[in-house]
Amino acid sequence: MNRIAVFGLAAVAAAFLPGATPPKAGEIAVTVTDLRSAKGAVRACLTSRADGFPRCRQDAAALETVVPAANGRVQFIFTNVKPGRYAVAVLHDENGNGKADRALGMMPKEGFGFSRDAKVTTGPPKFDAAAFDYGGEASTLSIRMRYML
Amino acid sequence: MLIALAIAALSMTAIVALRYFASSGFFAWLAGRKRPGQYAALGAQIRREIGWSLASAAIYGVPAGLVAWAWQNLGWTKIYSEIGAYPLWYLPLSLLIYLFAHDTWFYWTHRWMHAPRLFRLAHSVHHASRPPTAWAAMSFHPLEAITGAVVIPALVFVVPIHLSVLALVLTIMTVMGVTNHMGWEMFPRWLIRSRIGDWVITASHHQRHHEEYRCNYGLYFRLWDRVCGTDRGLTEKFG
Repeated sequence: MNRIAVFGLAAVAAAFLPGATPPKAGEIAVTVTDLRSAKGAVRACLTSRADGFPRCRQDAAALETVVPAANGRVQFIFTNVKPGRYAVAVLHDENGNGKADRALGMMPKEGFGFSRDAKVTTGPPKFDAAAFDYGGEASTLSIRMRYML
Repeated sequence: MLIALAIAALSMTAIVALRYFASSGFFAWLAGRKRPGQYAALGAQIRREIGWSLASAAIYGVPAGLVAWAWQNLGWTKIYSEIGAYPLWYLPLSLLIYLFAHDTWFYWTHRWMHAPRLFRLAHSVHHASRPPTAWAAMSFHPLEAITGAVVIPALVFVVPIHLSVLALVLTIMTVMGVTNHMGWEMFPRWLIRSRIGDWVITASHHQRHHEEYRCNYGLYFRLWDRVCGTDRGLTEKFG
């Protein structure tokens, strides 16, 4: 009974989070969690093309967004998304220089997150590990940030 | 999957061999500059050192490659990549645990290698380098190389370690393995003769092992040598 009460409270709290606008059809609302600081910006892109993922450089149709970072979580919405197979890449650009900084040119110093929580080991995940099917309905997505250094 | 495993083992062997040429080559060049002529008469010995070292590269590379593959594809091992997965104070602690465990394993297997039968069979290959050069870092008989090749690949299954700390362990292992044999002390005298030098092994300490054999067995720290009474101090040849 106690557990049910706590669960209910958490659901209510989530509904009243600032900026938690419900998505409409053709929209994917993304909640980025586990941000470690409010420094810099959160950059995200959504692409349907495997080549160039996770930077979405090759894809003129990629949807990109930049929001100021916040402690814990931020939310944004991709709009006018056509049905298809997509993957989302998120970068916590803490120094705001527009790229993922690396230590000794290897290990990422800034946080990253991918749809389906695709894992990073010796390199960024492949498109297929992060891809999901989108049918055009109002949709939400949660992406957890991870920090190597 | 067998092909993937073979590729992993082969590419790690190539990486270990390249690492050997880069690190030993660099420090051989440096030692040659600091002590001109020291390697001049050792051409034949150096060729043998390179030959044994390349055989060792395969013996080190295969288990390391298989473990790296299992880490990447199966999620095995306790290697972690998220910095926040353990408290930050665990980073230096894990470094010390790895160095201490490696040092302990090395000290006792190394003493074992000096048992007369094993010495003749295997370890004499390493001691054929008189005096050792930077190229002798991996110059071991295959039997001895196996005892060295399993330590870190086994430890990553037992003791959690961040990817960057693991890279640091491998860097320290490589650099100290080469420089301890290069016949020239790169650290300043005041550091070698300080409290740090009393407990940390550098070329001056390991050189004496190659001069007198039955002393100074340690790898990174003088702890086991001191505890077991096998520490005879630093070489006098470096001046």
